[in-house]
Amino acid sequence: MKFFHGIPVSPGVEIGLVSVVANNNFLIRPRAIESTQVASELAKLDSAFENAAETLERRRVDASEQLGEQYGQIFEAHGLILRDAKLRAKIEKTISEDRLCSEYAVYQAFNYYAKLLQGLQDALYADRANDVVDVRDQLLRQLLAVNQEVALASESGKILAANFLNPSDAAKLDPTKTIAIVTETGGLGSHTAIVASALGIPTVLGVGPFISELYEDDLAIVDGSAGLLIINPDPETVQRYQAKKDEQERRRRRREILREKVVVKTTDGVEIEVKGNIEFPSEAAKCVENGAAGIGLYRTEFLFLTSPNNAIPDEETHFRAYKSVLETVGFEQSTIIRTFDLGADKTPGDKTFVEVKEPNPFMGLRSIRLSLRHTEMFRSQLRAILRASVYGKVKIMFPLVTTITEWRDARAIFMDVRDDLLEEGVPFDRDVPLGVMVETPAIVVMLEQFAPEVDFFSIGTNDLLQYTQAVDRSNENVMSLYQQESPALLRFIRHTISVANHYGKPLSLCGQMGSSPTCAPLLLGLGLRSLSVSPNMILQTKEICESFSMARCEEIARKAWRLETAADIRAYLRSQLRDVLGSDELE
Amino acid sequence: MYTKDLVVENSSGFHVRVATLVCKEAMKYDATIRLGKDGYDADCKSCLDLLTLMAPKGTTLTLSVDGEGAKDAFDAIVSLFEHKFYEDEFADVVRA
Repeated sequence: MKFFHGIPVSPGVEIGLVSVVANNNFLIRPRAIESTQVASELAKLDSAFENAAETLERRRVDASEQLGEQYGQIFEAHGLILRDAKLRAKIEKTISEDRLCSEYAVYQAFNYYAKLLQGLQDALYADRANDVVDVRDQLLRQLLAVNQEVALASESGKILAANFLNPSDAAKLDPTKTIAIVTETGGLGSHTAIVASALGIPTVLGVGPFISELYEDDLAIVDGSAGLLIINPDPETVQRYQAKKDEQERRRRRREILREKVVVKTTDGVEIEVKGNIEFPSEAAKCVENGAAGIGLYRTEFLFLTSPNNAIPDEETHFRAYKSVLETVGFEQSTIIRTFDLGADKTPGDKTFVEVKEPNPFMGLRSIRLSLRHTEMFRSQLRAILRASVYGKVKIMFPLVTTITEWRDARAIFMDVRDDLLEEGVPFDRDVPLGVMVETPAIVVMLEQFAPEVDFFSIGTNDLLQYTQAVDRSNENVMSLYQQESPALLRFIRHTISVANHYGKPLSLCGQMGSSPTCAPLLLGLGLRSLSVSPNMILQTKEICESFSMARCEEIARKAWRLETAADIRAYLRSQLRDVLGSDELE
Repeated sequence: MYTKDLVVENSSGFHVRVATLVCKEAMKYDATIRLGKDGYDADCKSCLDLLTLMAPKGTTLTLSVDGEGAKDAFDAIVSLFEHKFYEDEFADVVRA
């Protein structure tokens, strides 16, 4: 039995036989050609480039469709390398002037650039060197007509063990066939890591030399969460990991079933809404896929931050994004669009806003304050939301409201925009509800003033915690005070729930705390019936809701309420979750 | 022939993403577009060539554009520099 440690890049445990792919390098030797062969060698090169370009394009399309746009872009970069005129000229020169075979010409030219990039002493460049090698190998495969493709060499139901794995080879792997990946080289920032994790194959990269220790069909264990490779494990170890794997499988199945369930219930039948938080329109589909009860928070500021030159997005840009989200979510579930939460740590590059450098941006001109200052921008956002309201059930939420005046000012602008649209005869939903975020102590203690006027509330725990504890969460000197289990925060949340319930106003919670598996039962016990979490936490949160009875959640809340410190509460909550979640999921 | 000295002003320098961006832009034009540093001229239509320029923040690069549509190509590349290559300064945004 031998243990190897590598870089964990994609979680999960697998036990199986290994399929060894010793793909250290192509061995290419310079072979001289006759002058009469130059033309045919160049033609061979042409078709190799053409085929490689086609393969890449196919892969780009596949990756974009199956994994998402950003994965497709990896192969777009490969395409640029392939179309590089200078590189091509270098290769052709080697063939026609030096009279060397095409595969050597390709090998030499690509290695020249790969070495140059590797020599730049910078991790980012070194990773790109891998991309250059990847494209080189695509061409060499064409030229040598060999099938050294890792995907084909990797047998079904086995662990793929290789010296290295190209991102394009990784993208071709079938997650139902290759059960795990382990390689000698590669790291967390590599495209291979990104692709492997998107495919959901347990993967450990950068283990260092181990291939020579291994024979085909040796038994191995890959723990993608711990970054561990165990070769020829003893029966006891196998048993231990088998138990881990079974548990993981049970969890996976439970979650598959939960995917279909939009309405989840505690074991004693209390219905809980689990919604999704999104930033980009494309994430809405992920929420629907995971059976979210709608979008509890659509952070529109990312529309701003990702706009090409950080320009203020125009009404059409807003409209297109909102329309796409609403069409995805539909009318069955609602979508809560939060107006721009800019300022503080999210500063737009547009010069319009950078008036004076604020010494204390979290206390400065941010969120609704900024929107009320720049009303043109605010109006075009509200117009776009209303225009998009014919495509789905939309609600609008204002961030960081601290006074009743701010709320009324924001509502007045909304009513004004609404009147404009009515006058213009533009169709829109006349009953779009308006809500506010509860994320400052001021609004919590004044909530009864708001409740009669506001249609719904949503607690933003990140800001609420920051302002409650007076702690900058990015300042490491005081970060220890930023704990979600803060007893003060619990009291604010409890008060918000009581007031919202008293006035019969819908209330949700969309901060990080809702996504924390340990905090969910506590929040339910405090009286929350709606949580909005990041898309990849939807299934887990639903699972937690279905694993507890409300009676037990309330017991947990009562007990936590009496504990003195955040650390005590945290420890207690963890102890309550141990039987529901695997240890690797308890953060 | 249009030439201009341009300073790399974005914080991460003339990096991989930037090289790709400049290359994609350059390929839209017929003109010959070059960026030079210390006597070496990189062809902007070759992203590998651009990558090897290795120009961190503060480096001055000389842009020279010649041939058909040179003015448009020149303006396009200058604009990329002026906008600091639209570098995503929000990559580390702390999510609310």
